[in-house]
Amino acid sequence: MKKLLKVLAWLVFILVILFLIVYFLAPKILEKTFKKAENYPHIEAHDKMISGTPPLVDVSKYKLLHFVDSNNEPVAIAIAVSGGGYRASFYTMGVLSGLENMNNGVAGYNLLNKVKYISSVSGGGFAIGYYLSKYSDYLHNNIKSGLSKKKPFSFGSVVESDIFTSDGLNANLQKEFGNLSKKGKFKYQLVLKDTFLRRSGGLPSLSVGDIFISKTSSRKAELPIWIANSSIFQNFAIFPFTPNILKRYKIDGYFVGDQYIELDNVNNLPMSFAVAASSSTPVIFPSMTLTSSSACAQECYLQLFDGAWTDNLGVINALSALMKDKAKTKVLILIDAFNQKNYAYSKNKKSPNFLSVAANGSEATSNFWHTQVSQFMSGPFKTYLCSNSKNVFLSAMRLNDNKKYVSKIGTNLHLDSIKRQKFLLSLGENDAKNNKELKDLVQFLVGKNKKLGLCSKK
Amino acid sequence: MFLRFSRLISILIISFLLISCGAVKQGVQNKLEKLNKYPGVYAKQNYIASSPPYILINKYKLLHFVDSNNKSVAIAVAISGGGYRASHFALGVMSGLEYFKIKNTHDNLLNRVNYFSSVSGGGFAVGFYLSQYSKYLSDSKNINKEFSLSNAINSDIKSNNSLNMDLQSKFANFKNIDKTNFPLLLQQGILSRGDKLPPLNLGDIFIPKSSKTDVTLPLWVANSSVFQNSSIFSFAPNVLSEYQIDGYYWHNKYQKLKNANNLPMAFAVAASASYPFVFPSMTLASSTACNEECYLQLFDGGLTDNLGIFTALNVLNQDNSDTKILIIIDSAQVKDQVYSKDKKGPGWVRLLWNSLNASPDHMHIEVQSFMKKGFKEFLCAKASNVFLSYISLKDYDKVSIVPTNLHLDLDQQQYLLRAGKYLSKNSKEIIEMTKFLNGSYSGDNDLGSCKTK
Repeated sequence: MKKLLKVLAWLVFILVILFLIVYFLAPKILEKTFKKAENYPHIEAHDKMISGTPPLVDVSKYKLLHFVDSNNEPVAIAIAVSGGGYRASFYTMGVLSGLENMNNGVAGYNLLNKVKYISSVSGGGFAIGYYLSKYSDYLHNNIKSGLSKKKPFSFGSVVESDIFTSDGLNANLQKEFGNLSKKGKFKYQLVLKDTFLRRSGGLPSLSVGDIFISKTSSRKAELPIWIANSSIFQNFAIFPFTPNILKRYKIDGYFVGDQYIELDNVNNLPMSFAVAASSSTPVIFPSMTLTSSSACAQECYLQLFDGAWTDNLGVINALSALMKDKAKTKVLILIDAFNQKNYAYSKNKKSPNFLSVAANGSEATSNFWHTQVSQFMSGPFKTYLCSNSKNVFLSAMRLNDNKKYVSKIGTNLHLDSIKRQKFLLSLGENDAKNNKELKDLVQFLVGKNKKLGLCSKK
Repeated sequence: MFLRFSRLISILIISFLLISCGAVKQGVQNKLEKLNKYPGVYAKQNYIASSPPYILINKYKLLHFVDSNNKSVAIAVAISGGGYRASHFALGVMSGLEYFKIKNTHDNLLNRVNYFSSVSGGGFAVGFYLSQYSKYLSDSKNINKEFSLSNAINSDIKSNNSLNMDLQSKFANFKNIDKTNFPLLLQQGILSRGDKLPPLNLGDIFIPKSSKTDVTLPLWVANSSVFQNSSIFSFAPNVLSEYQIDGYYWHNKYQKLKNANNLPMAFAVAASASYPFVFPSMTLASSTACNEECYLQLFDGGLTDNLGIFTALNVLNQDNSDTKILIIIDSAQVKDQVYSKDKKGPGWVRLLWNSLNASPDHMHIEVQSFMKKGFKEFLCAKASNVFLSYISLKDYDKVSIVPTNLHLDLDQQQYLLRAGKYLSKNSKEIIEMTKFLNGSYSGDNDLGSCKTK
């Protein structure tokens, strides 16, 4: 008995000592740790302007596709595609198939092959990468076989067949990246190269130079301009993957996992790197790292994370591209697959604790931005675009607007069934086909009603 | 600023470490999602979360000003957050605006402002100005005296210096976080109107069109953020009634709110400045919005639009004046490095911490580099002349910038006031807009015209 008491007393004593140590010492040690975390070292660039006023995409440097309406007046269509994991990629693929085969306005009208600019974020970029890889495969095969475009490209049927034949659209990335212990071991962009960005017949996957063709090049522009957006860790600026931006940041290398790869020409950067950077959700994914040997006094790095951290709709660079364009008619199509929070009230009257606050914090920007863009900014977008064009069409497809879409699909990198994939695809397709603004646009383009989308109401 | 909150931070870190142990196995995000069981409640009107209400100016009496040609002019001032750095810099800029006189009147640019949109620390500045100004207006002895914000600031600094009341020590400590009555401190300090007048409430700022009371003050919208869906919450009676607010918590004590006009402005300023971790959220209550009693938890407006620019643009767009003026006062500390020294990515403690700043950092950059160009086009759609002025503390002195603090040295106080005054007095755009208002420009240069490209 006495022995037991003695042991107990010792135990209490040790516990008290431990408590005291934790109480008095831990804060200091932890504060140091925290300070270290807070000061994840940044480094000054030679060009001090670069952080305060980050460079903008300049589409005028590249060869562009050219489209006209029935009066031969130029038309510029830009698509902005939001993030949201596989929910976003499948919904977007659905919308793209809908655009390809409008039954609203003029049956069978193809809007998709008249798209000039695409600005994508995170999961939305999977869909765009997939579309452009398949489309460029088709173009390549056409040339090789000497066929004059007898059989038109159909994205819808490509998706349809891929769902059943391969796992490329629904590779289980969740398993690989939801797990912290695997983080860093996985070469994310290589996985993307084998899935969404895979090309047929041993063709190399798309690189920056396949999308952005310099005006001086002898190559023809065949694909729309595709801007994949990510976020710079240090200052939360948008980082769009275009050659002029890469050059401006003096990028001359990148990392695949831990392996450094020199980049003597920014055109050689694989788009799989861009898509990976654009969808590197903090905490779950490691940052994607670009390097520069000339931007700072020593070798320095751009750490890139998910574009959702800044503009999760990709709308800023879609607008930016359209504003540079001289077309008389401008079209902005928003594809928004975001899971907007649909409650504002709390159940508790007590203030949320810091864990809830920290967990919410990482979503604050996208939540805020989606609400603002859908509610208030759509008006300004139109007046802004109208300031240098004659007709403007602004259309938005929002997954959230689907009343029947009751069972919310979480932001995931794996969908659990083909049924679910098809569900998202059909929602997207129907949303595009039934969109009123797109119907107006088609009417306008085929010359059925030239008064639609007019900027001046007078 | 946060490094000083050692106890708070240590508790934070211990928890982070605790999560991290489990996280290695289960994935941090899943774990965080589980821990984040702070439940939301659906409202009966389910659109309220996705399209949140905003201020509707046609519900209220508005000040009306004209230029030398008798054409109507609307001036909006948006003021960013940033603790006492923001409040003192904004006060400096505002007293600089007083220096621009309007010809043939006793007015100056400051008392010609129709709308203020403030965030966090910026609200301290507007609150101080409007408390002092309304106090001056209420005293009939002042009829022949002109109000001077500069003098009000100087005499405050000389007497009790309520502008620099030490909130840092009150809230820096996690133990005190619930013990200190933040709005009451504001009412007794920055928002005090002396012994004779009660502190401002919502009804003093927002006067319904049907009321007999004359409007003497500009519309002042203090912006905070709704915790659950990160939307902007603007303190205006129509917003409160759309959210069906019928009560609020004044330092943990429930107060019934029969009329939204009775809500103290101190509550709005406190909600607008409640930085997460450092401050508790401010709580509004509704007994009718949901199927049970439910609450709106409000935090710092800096989590959403730290410039107050959305509200300012929105309000100007609703206004029908011929000339529209937007003055943005930005005292943010934008990170001026983009490159990292390490090739390894940042750890996740750092990531979570950074995420709180993502929205304000991003907004400051976007507003300056891209959106600013669109603002004029936007406002021009419904006006004939538009002036934009962007007054940024960064332009005064890039080196010695005061950290985000709720207590300053006297030197820092004077430095910030001086910086603000200097920048507004020398702002090319402000000089131009004053010329325009006074009609004192040569006819051929069409100042601020929306037609010239």
